[in-house]
Amino acid sequence: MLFFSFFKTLVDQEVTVELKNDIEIRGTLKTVDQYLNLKLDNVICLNEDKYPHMQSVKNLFIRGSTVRYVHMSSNTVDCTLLQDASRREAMAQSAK
Amino acid sequence: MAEPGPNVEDLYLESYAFTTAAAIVGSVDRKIFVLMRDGRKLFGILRTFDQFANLVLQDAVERIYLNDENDDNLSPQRYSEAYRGVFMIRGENVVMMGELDIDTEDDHLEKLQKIPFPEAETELKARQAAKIKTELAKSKTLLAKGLINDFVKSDLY
Repeated sequence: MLFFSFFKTLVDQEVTVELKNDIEIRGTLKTVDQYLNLKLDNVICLNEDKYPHMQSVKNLFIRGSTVRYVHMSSNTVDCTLLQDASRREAMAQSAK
Repeated sequence: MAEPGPNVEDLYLESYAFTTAAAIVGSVDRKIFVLMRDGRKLFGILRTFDQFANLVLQDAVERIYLNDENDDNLSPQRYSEAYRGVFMIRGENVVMMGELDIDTEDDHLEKLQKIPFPEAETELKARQAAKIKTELAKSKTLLAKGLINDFVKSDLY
């Protein structure tokens, strides 16, 4: 659940989502759920001539399982904190 | 169709914070597009959904875009449409869905040539078969080197 919490802190930030089929979409992250499905507002598709139907899309729901990368501004992430938290969670998991 | 007020989504978000349902509820009764894992693009009015992103579309239209060469990096020059009526989509097959701006949704089609659907479907099927063949060959080569190719036959989006 750590990355779910992490994505919740990114709500209202601008992110770029790269899907497994190479579509890149930039937009404001609106919601995220436990499957890391994402909802973006004010979307622009970065390779729009390849996917012309994306031009008139206002907001987008993306299923988490089709996402390859989420790019975000480095000042929105505290990497040390995230690394620390990941380790703690891994330790808590293995202790069970 | 009653137009919901601008704050409908916010109201739901308060009670359903961070659920799949909250992300989709704002698009109900709107024109949406759905990209499915098998590569189909469906355009229709979202009538209902559930927590798995199972969707029901009314007056759905399937659209195929094709470019002239068999190259995935080129923009399409031709398209085709087929009316599908009511379409129920199982959530696991959804890649993404987005609300459409009904004022501009057809603008990009003006530059494209419309062709008959069976023709487009035959061409698309042939291209997908070719893609599966090359990807499976790639998987085999990579596997021989101990590497995994991230490709599933049903993923043609």
